[in-house]
Amino acid sequence: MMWESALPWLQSISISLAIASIALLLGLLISLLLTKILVDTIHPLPKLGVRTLTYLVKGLPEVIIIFVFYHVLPFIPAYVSGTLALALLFATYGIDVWMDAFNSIPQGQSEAALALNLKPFQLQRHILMPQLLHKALPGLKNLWLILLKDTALVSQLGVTEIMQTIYEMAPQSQNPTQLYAIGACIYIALSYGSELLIHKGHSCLPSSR
Amino acid sequence: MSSLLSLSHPFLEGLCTTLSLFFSTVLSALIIAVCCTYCYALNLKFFKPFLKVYLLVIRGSPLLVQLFLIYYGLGQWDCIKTQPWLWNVLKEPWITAWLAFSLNSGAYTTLLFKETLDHLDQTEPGQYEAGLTLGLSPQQAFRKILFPQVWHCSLNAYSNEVVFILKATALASTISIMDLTGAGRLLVAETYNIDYLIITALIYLVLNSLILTCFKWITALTARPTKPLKVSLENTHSHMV
Repeated sequence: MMWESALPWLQSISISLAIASIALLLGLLISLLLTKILVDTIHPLPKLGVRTLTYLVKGLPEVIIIFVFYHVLPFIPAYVSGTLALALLFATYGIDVWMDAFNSIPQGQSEAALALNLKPFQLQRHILMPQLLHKALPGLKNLWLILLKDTALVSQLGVTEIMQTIYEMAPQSQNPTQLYAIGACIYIALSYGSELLIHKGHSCLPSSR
Repeated sequence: MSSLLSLSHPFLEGLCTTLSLFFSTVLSALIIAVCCTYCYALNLKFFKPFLKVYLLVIRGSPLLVQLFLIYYGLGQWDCIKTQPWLWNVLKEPWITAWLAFSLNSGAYTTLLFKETLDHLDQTEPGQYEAGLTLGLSPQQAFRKILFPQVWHCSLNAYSNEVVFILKATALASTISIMDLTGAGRLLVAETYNIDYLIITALIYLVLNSLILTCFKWITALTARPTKPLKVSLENTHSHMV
């Protein structure tokens, strides 16, 4: 009996977390790609493209972006288009984080590494990446918390994550306030928990001084 | 469908609703933030835990949940239902949305001011105490010494917060308010034409550019000869440029 009443909650929490983590992985990939375009390419056209994209995504309300994805890609299921929209949101804000981290590493380090005959891959793996990760992690944590909260917006497309589950349960329940309060508590617990986890992870990283 | 220029077009009505929500939220959120920062600067004993819980709850949960909690939740309580005037005010979707947005943005703005204040305390400590020693009242010391510096240093980040408020008002459409997003969604649902969504998006972009221009203007007007402190804001949300 207990188990049955907890089942929809567990299901919706896992859907929310799944959407958030897939969007996180995709967003990290896309943001690294976009940052690479901004840093490495000399041709102005791709740079202009990335700049326009960031301007658009940062200037528009998140709901509108999700709706645009939903309506422009009608042939894919709602949860996929929602995840893609969240990934794009994460990626565009992620560019700033990566750029800040990247700019804080002196240029001389890569030159020194190359002079010491390190291969480009070794340079990335042993010199740049550890420092980048260490510097970018607080910003990425912040973006992850925003992403986690933004998954609630996917409920507007009818995906049965936490918000939508509550929304469907509320009319039959005697006490909808309680349901919404539980929902808020779940989100607070998730974000507080992940904040603690990331904090722990940050102190375990091989830090650079 | 009425033409785009007629006065009763959904977009125009939606724009009015969005703007009224936006301006009232900016104002009330600023008031909440200044009051909270004032209490924080005065080091009131009872206030610290209250602020901590307020920030945790608002920052930990999505705005959508807060909006629904206030819109659907408040009507549950008998003490509100038995007060007719209170109930009449609180069942208006516009008022509920305004309340939710103000509480939400008030928390984020408080956090912004609080972190700037902490930073100020670290880099140039003792200003408040010096003010008190010179015979200023706590209120004067805050108003004339601390807050101008806090305002000056956090103006840039505050512009992001204001843009965030505009973006947040888009959520009002989820509780049946016909704002800009609501109008766009309605027209798309009626006509299956995505162009209306694009028009909505364009209006938001124009509004955002206007806000950022206004802030450039304000920054230029209130510019000071001293160089601004560099504040690192890791914990506020990094919206807009």
